[in-house]
Parts: sequence; structure tokens; C-alpha cells
Amino acid sequence: MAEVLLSEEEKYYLVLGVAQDIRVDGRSRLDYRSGDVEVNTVTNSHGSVRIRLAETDVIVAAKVDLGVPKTETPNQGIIKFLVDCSPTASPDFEGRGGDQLAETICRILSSTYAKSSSINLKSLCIVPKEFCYIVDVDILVLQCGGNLLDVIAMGVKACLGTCEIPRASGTRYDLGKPVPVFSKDEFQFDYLDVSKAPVIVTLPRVGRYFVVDATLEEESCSKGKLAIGVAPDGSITSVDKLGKACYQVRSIAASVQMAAKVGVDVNKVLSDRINKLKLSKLHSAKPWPPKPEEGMDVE
Amino acid sequence: MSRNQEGEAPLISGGSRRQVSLFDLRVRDEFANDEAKGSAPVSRAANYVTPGTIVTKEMGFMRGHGTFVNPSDQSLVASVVGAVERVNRLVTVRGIGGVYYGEVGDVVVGRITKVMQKRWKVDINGRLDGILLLSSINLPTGELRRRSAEDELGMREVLKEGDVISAEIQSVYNDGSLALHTRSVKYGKLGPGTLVKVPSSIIKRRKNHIHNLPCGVSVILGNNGYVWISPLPNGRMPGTNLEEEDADGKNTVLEEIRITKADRMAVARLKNCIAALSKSWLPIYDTSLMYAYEASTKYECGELLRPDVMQEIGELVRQQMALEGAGS
Repeated sequence: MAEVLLSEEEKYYLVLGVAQDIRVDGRSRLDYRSGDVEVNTVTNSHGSVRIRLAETDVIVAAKVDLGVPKTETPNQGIIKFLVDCSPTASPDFEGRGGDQLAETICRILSSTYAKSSSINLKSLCIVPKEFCYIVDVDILVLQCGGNLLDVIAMGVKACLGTCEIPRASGTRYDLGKPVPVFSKDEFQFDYLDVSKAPVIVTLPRVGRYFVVDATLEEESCSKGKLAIGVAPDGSITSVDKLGKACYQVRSIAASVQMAAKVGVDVNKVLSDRINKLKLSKLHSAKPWPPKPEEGMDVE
Repeated sequence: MSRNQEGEAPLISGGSRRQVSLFDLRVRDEFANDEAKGSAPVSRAANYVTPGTIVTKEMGFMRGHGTFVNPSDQSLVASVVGAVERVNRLVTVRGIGGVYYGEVGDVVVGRITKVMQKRWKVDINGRLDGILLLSSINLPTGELRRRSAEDELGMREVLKEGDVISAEIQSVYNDGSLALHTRSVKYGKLGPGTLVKVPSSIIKRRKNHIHNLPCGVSVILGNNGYVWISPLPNGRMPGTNLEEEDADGKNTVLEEIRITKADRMAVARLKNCIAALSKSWLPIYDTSLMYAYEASTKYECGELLRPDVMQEIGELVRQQMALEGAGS
């Protein structure tokens, strides 16, 4: 993770501030910074979102492709994640510098979304064993201002939630093999159901306290952090430890409790914003080519 | 995290000011609307140019920094965004934003990046690192003598990597790097506090750049765009830069410095005010800072991070400054 250089005095000020529950920018330990989210930033993808939380800036784009389901899960689609830490985000990411971080983030996302409860992968299957959707989620980190993992997880959820998946209108048989048939109308699509998808709450420990939405400075004052995936109902989907810290069981339990509480709130706000984004997408959509009449689907 | 610190379970919710977390994420569309209705028309000074603007078509002007000569018609064209400056026949465009060009006598805030032989390298937001020579600091004991080999060995005890200092620019070297000095009680190593980075061009040049504000907070407005905010008087770490007369050997330990909640709140508020001023691209100096601070009092400190609140504060400060006829 991108680290910033701090003096002993700055660290002293920061850590004691966290203990007094007044962080450097006046937030309490549970407060997030404010951010904004924008939809359709990458026009040639099926769904894309640019999400900013203070200085952290991430673009998430999803591309839907047709593929063959995995043999062990013949009736499920596939979601793949790819993270790219751009060197513009931090000089540390230059060359192969960001690879390790990118890999870690990929792994955490895949493990959180692999839970059958988070997203119904069966809805991405078209013909069992033969055809399914492969959703490639590309994540580009433009700027890293702390709390990268949470922002990426929010972006991924918003991106999957607003991703337009073409609707297969049926199957036809070609040489005895089923082949999916798609409508030529680009406005016939489905949204993925992300109402159970998790967000990640990262809790770095600054001094003796866990904080939510840490800045880069706060992150460099903490040895390690716990990244906790939280579903909208408050259930925990994953717990990962990042960095070189060791935790006692009860402090993990306490942090999981805290994350669950915070995660429910974040999920609530995010779901509301996803609905708003869907609406704004509808408004901004320009029908081109002009919408054909109903039932004109060419097969 | 060491084992013994791990011993006690961390306090999570107990003692927290708020039991619920604040999370605010805006959809970009509504945000754009807010911007459209809120902002006042910005008057643009005539001598501001963007890259490609023809600065002059007349012959007989010399090409300075930030300009180039268009080979087809020999006109002088700006290569950066900024203000046109003219000294006799030399035309330059001084870029806004970007890196800091130092001037002798400027107060700067910098961070030590490297300890070298007889000198420290200091990050001061410029094209090149600033240089602080061992001979241009006051020794912590306050003695006035030639620097010995022992002093050179103990340089890291005086200032080490990551330390933040306030300094004055002593001279500019031929290659454009800046020589700093801290040979005054005003300057030296800074104590507990926080650093805010803003574009260097919005710091207004004043007679005084170190202010102890009435809200109990001291602020150092470095000309290089680094602003230091601290609850300690003059922002300085006590006992690190003593003049000969008050060198009583008193050494303040960092752990003994206590900072009250009220002080912390004031520092945080000021930090957010500076961020708001910088976002609205308003000049930063003592008066504008106090206007912003007063305008911010109706909000809670954490609320000042919201973009709409930041914008409102910027707007209020702009109005106030127009009323007083300050800045422009």
C-alpha cells in the first residue's frame, strides 16, 4: 500500500487524536469522508462506475462476455476481477510495484463474491454446461487517498448493480446443440440482483482503536488492518488480515461487530444510490439506433 | 503492534462521540446541479492566459519561462496556464498550480527526505529538493560555534527523515534548488500538528506567515503551499531551537505534550477551512482564514468535509472579502 512519510510528532498527534475520538479532520472514529459516484464513465462497457471518496478515485467497468461454465459449477456464470493500480495513483505502483496489492485486492473480492449468498451466479447461466455469462470486472485505481479496498468494493457493487446484461430471448438448436438467441434491441437487458452483495469495511488499528475510512496518514500509523466483508443483512462474508499485525481473538470479534454495524449503514446508502444511478442511466440513455417495434426481434 | 498493547481489548464503541457512522455518497448528477446554481460568475483578470494563447505579436520581446516562439509568425505563445509578467522586454508566464518557485526570504514548510553529509534534503514542493546545511541551523543547545565532526555524526538526532520543519529561503542555487536556513527562533522542527497541502500560488505573500490565531491554534502558511497547523504556539516543537539566552537545557519530551479536545477541534476545523479555501481557489492568508473559520462555526467539524458545505464557505468568504475590499 502506498505509504506516506510522517514525523514522530505528526504520528503522536494523529494516534492520540484517534484515542480522543477526534481525528485529524474532525471526524469521529466511525465516520466516513464524503464521496460521489458517477455512472457510465466507460461507454464501451456494459456497466461502469467512477467512485470517489475524498482523494481516493477508482473506475470500475464490467464487460459481459459469452463463455462456457466451469465443469464443477455447470449451472453458474462467472465473475472475474482484475485490479490495475495505475502509477498515477502513487509512485509506489510504478513498474511492478502495484502488482502485489492488486493481487491481494483481487483475491479478497473473489473470495467475498464467491459466497453463493452474495450474488446469484445461477442467473448468469444461459444453457447449463454450454453457455453462461462471464462478467469481467476491471478496476482501475486512479488515485489512492486511503481506504482503497472499501472504495473498490463499493464501486464493484455499484458497477455490478448497474451493469446491463443482455437478455437471452431463448435458445435455438443448431446441429442438435442449443445456442442462445439474443434480442437485437439494446434496451432489452437485465440487471444483476445485488441486493445481497457485500461491501468491505477495512478497519486499520491506530493505537488501540479501530477506525473506519482511514486516510493515507492514518494507514501509515497502523501496522495492519482487517478487511471485513459485510452483507446488507449484517452477516459477515469474509475476514482478511492485511499487513503485519497480530490480533487477539476478542479484538477480532469486537472489530467484526463494529464492521457489521457500519457495513449495514454503508450497504443501505449504497443500494439507494444504485437505484438512483439506474434511473439517471435511463434518463441519459439516447436510443440509437431508434427503438424497434415490439416483437421485431430478429433471430 | 506489540503483545502488551494487545493485552487490553480495544475500546470500540465505548467513548465514541456518535454511535452511528456517517456515510455520505452523492450521485454525480445531483452534484453537478448544485454546482450550477451555487457558483457566482468568476471575473477573469485580463493578463491570465492558457497554453496556446498569443501573449504578444509584437517583435522585440524576449522569451521567458512559460512561453515559446511560434516559428511561423514569430509571435510569443504561452505554454502554461498562468499570469503574464513583464520585466522590461522579458515576458514570462508564471504558472498557477504546479511546482513552487522559491524566492529568497520566503517562509516555507518542508519535510526532511534525506540526511546527507553536512546537509539535509527537504521536500518543499519544488522542482528540486531544498537543501538545509548543517551550518544553517541553530544547534539544539543554542551554542554558537563551528560545526564539528561530532555534530555531523549526530545530525539524525537533530532532524531525521520525515520530520517537518519551518524554514526561510536563504538563497537560490544556479540549478534552481533552494538553500534553506532555520537560524531564528521562529523556525526549526515542528511539534505535534498536521500538514495540509494546497497549491503554492494561492498562498498570499504577506509580511508575516506565522500566525497564532485567536482560536488558540497556530498556523504556518508556507509560501510553498504546505500549511502547518498546530495547537502549540508558533507550531514549533519546544526545546529544539533555542537562542543562546533561553538555553536553559530544558528538554521537552513529546509524550508530555497534552492536547485538549477543544484544541483538536479547532485544528481540525482550520484544516477543513483551508481545504475549503483551496477548493474555491481563494487566497489563503490570516484574514481569509479567519473569515472561513467564522463562516464554518455554524457547522459541525466533520460536516465541513462535505463538498456543498465547502463550497458554501468559499462563497461566504468571497462575499466577505468583496465587502472589505480585501484581496481581489
